[in-house]
Amino acid sequence: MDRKNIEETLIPQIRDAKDASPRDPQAGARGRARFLAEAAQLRAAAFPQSGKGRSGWASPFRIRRPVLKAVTAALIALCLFASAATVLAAQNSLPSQPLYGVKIQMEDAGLRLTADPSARLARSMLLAARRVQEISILVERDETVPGTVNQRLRLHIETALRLAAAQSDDRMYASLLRIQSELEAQERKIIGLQGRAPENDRPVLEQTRAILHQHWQSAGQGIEDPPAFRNLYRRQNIIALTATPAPATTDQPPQTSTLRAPDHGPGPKPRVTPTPNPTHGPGRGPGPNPSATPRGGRKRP
Amino acid sequence: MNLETPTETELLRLARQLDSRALAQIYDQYSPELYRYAMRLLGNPSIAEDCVAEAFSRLLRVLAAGKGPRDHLRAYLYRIAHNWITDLYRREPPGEELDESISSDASPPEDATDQNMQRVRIRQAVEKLTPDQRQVIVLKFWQDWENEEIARLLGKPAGAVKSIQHRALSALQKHLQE
Repeated sequence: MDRKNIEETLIPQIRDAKDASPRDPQAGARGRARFLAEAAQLRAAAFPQSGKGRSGWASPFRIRRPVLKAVTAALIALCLFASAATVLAAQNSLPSQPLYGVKIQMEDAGLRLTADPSARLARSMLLAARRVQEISILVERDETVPGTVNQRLRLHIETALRLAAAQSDDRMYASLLRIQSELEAQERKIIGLQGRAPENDRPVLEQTRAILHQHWQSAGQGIEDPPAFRNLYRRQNIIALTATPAPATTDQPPQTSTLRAPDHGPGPKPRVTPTPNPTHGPGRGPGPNPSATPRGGRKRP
Repeated sequence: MNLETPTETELLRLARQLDSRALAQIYDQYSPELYRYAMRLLGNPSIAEDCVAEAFSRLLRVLAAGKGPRDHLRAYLYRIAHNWITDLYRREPPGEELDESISSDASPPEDATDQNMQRVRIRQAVEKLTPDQRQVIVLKFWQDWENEEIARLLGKPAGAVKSIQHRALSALQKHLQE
């Protein structure tokens, strides 16, 4: 083949023949639209929460988005871990310790989140038992018992009584019996402590005992006279369920709601079997008793 | 054309994030010449559009998967188009139908000038080349690519491209003399 012939003749002829039919503009536009629609579908699948997807140009945020996501996730995890660790550490803290405030906040939050009244009642009594336990530990360690502990103890018990007052006759009866039983056990515990407590803790312990005893009486009177018990708690301006009590400035004896003044001094009393009541004893029929006759509770002579 | 400009790299980075503006720019920049390339190899506007659509669709899928080219986007698109055309030729070897479509673009012989007739003859001769030869001729003389670009696209040394080109020209000469 003649190279000169190719370069001088054939190649120019080839170049001259290159013209292709011009592209149909509409076909080109359809192809473009199809391509961008497919891109939008892929974008929607790849970034379902980002709406238009990544449509910006050189945003540093987008460039480093994976890094930011990782950092954010790490920070959240760190915060959660720190929070969980704090809560765990606070669970066993005592009133004299820095994390006690966290413990109280968590208790209040837990109570606030408990929707069922029966569960709230049980939780309130659990918190009351926890306060008595704290007092007990502080005394054993020869530490001063802050007056706020008794304030919260009173709050928990009154909350439980208020919730009991809102229950039906049958359930209120059962709740008050349980409250009485728990308060009696706690009072015995405090009496046991009083004998070996340091001198400076004795007034606080006496106040604790009084709180427990007076509310024990209130529960007993609620068992005997439910309507009067309910009326009393309806009238009372009870401290809000989750309110945090103000710091105690004095350790004055508590002004407990009672239907009648205590007619006995503090101290363990022989337990009295509740008076048999046909509507509440074993084998009674279902449904509340509309007459709500006074019943026997645990009485102290 | 310089294929390694920072602009192309940036464009591909954004396209990998499925940025609509970047993808639109890529389509607008490369689809016209890719269509011409496909049209010159296929001779059928409808099939050429299919080729372009498939090339960009494949590009999109690899970009969405976080893969695909980091540069040399143009060569990448041509490679996809060329593979698609090669597959098409395997399934449907070019025959009378393709020749007719090419001829139909030209004026009837009795009314055509000698120049137009010669163009038709050359296009028909190009169709008779082997795929590699046809691709080199189309890229070199109709798409105005440099040998180095063709070599990169074909994955062959520049010397091999020159060799293919030489054989292609000889074959064309032979076909035109038949």
